[in-house]
Amino acid sequence: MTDTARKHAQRPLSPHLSIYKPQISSVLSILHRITGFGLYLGLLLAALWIISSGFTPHHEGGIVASFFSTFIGKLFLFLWTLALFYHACNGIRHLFWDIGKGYDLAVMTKSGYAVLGSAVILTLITWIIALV
Amino acid sequence: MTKLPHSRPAKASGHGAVHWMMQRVTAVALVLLVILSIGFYTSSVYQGVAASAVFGSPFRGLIGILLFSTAFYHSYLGLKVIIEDYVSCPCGRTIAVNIVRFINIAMAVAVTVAIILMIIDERISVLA
Repeated sequence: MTDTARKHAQRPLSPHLSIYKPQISSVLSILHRITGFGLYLGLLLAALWIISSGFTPHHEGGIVASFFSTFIGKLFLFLWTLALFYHACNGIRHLFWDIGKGYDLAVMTKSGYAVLGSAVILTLITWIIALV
Repeated sequence: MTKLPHSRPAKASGHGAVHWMMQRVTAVALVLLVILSIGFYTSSVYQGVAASAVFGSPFRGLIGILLFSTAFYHSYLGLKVIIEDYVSCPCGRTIAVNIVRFINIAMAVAVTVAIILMIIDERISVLA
């Protein structure tokens, strides 16, 4: 970096995350990105499970299956389905925005809470069905 | 002679629009595929059922192949956006995006091959 560039880089910034009140819009937006990334990690695990089952038929599932049978594995699966339903519901909310609907502040707030509620309900329904 | 601008576009200006659309198209496809899959996949994974019991049937195997391929494409597009947002160096960006691209393609192909192998196995044991 040149000397002037370095001096520019060291100037203080205005505060942003420390002073801005978290709101339904911003929190759900970053949560959509975070759940997307977390879902990708789970997707890689699920793919490894299928690959090890298909390529080595007598060692069903390999390391991944034994991970999923532990408590931490099941906790991970639970959180992963929660992330899945959140990301899917918020994704549908995004699709409505893409066709131009739902930008009104009141509608956006309501749809945001609806997404949070649906994600939790869908996760609980899925896990109750899975456990019974 | 004017200097090159600091930020040079990697592609022509019309290039990225199709990614935006494919992200939405794959999102819709994934909603449908996930609804179809939830019934058969969640209980098996939880209870430690063999993957071949789930994916051995041709119909469920097909849904699985479609689900994983679409998911790997959708997540590639999503990760590309995340990387472009947070990695400032252009060559670091290119390398990171291509690493994700290679991993996703390799995993999608490997999952497809594995599911086809499981279907063949089931069919052989049925015919025997």
